[in-house]
Amino acid sequence: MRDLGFGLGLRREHFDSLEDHAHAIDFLEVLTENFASFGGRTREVLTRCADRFPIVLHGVALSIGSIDPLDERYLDQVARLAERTRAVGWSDHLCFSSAHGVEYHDLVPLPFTDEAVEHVAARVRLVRERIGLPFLLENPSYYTRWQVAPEAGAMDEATFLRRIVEAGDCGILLDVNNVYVNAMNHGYDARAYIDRLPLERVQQIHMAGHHQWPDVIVDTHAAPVCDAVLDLYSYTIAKTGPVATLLEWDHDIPPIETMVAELAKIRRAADAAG
Amino acid sequence: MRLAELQAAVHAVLRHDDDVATSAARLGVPESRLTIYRDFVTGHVTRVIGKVYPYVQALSAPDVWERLTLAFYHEVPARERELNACVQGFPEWLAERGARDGLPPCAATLAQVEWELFAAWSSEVEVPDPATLAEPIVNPTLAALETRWAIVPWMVANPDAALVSPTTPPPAELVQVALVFRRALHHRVAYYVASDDLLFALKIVSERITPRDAAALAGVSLAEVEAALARAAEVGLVLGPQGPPEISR
Repeated sequence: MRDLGFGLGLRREHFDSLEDHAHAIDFLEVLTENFASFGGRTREVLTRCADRFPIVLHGVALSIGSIDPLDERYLDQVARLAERTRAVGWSDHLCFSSAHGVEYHDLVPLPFTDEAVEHVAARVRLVRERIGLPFLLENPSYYTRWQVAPEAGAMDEATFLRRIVEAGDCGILLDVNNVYVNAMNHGYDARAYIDRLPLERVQQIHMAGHHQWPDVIVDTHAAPVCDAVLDLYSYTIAKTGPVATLLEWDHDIPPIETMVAELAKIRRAADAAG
Repeated sequence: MRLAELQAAVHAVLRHDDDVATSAARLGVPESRLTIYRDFVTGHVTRVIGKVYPYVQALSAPDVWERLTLAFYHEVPARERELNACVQGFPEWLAERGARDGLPPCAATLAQVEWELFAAWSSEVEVPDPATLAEPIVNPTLAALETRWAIVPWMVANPDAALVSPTTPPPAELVQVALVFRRALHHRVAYYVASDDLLFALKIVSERITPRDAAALAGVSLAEVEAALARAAEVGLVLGPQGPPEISR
């Protein structure tokens, strides 16, 4: 997965225009929940894209940290979609997005504790075996950090991620924008966070835009990548070497021309980082 | 706090069962940050109701709509990972509320038709290319809904939901059957009133009656049968090879 190049998330807004710019896009990321159960034009475009581009799947609903049992029906959907698109890997977020049988459609952070490490790592091993494709965990953005008593094995975010991916033996989808957003919101050094990760496990990078609210930065995926995030990306790439990098844009989605121009900006930053 | 305990506490906030201030104090986190999650999670569902049911929203006063969608969020927990699927139950829920909330009496039926539009658009059922078929079939994505209001003509007269408002006259009371299906090849969703000729064509194709037998049984000319079948094929309700439909026994 690491050598896929530079890609975009497949969005319905670009169904008619994507192929005109195929030369500028190395791979596509498909949001599992937005494609798995859709037929019609969605299925037709997906099939055509899978013939033209390498595909990676990205989910928001695995809920790897939930106390609820893993959903076999959902894992079946992932497996079927992976087979249909000949996906080369899949990813989801280090969070819980459902509990007590209710879906949140959002990424709620986990407490950075020994209990959470053990719980998530065990489930990572299960889903890896179940799907049989390289699995990556993404560092999510989070707006609140749960208070944890020292006796519960409290740890910092980088240690939490490192321990889980090592115990679960999976890769990291490093969202550089999330690192920046979290560092600003929770007052830590973004570069020091990068330095503390097992960078050899970073198989894919996400880049995105965010918005500044009065007292918090929100990971909106609705804006261009800012210079500070591009700088952090260059810093990361200088340490990891080339890594498959994807631009995410989920709200107020601009025309494909803007997306491709943004992707070119990211590509130049990677080239400059060597 | 154990993982299960934390998730139960957060869940209660996200479901609006516990108030944010008390929960934030108990969890030791800023109220404003917990509010972000509650509002995001609630907003995903309430916004998608407006996306799937734009005409019902357009006929509702904004405060009524906000109250309705919040009540739906609270009373019908989102059980599906695919967000649109979480609001499939909105028409039935609306029907159970009756004519309260200042909505026109047709609102639940209108919502039902709107859901069928989405269901036809997203259906995983494949609509075959008519040219590949040996004989006509009924469009496999077809949904037929008997309604007490003239929903389809009203939607045809108001093609853009964004131009509909609570002052727009709602659909007139009239018993009709609405036919909703996705067309082959270009995948567009179509909706028609089940006129006599379309219903006749549906019966002929679904029961595999030959045009000649259909004409004899209905006491009409063969030309009328062929015209009905041709129109059904033209609108995409019936799929079949090019030329006059021929149905073999």
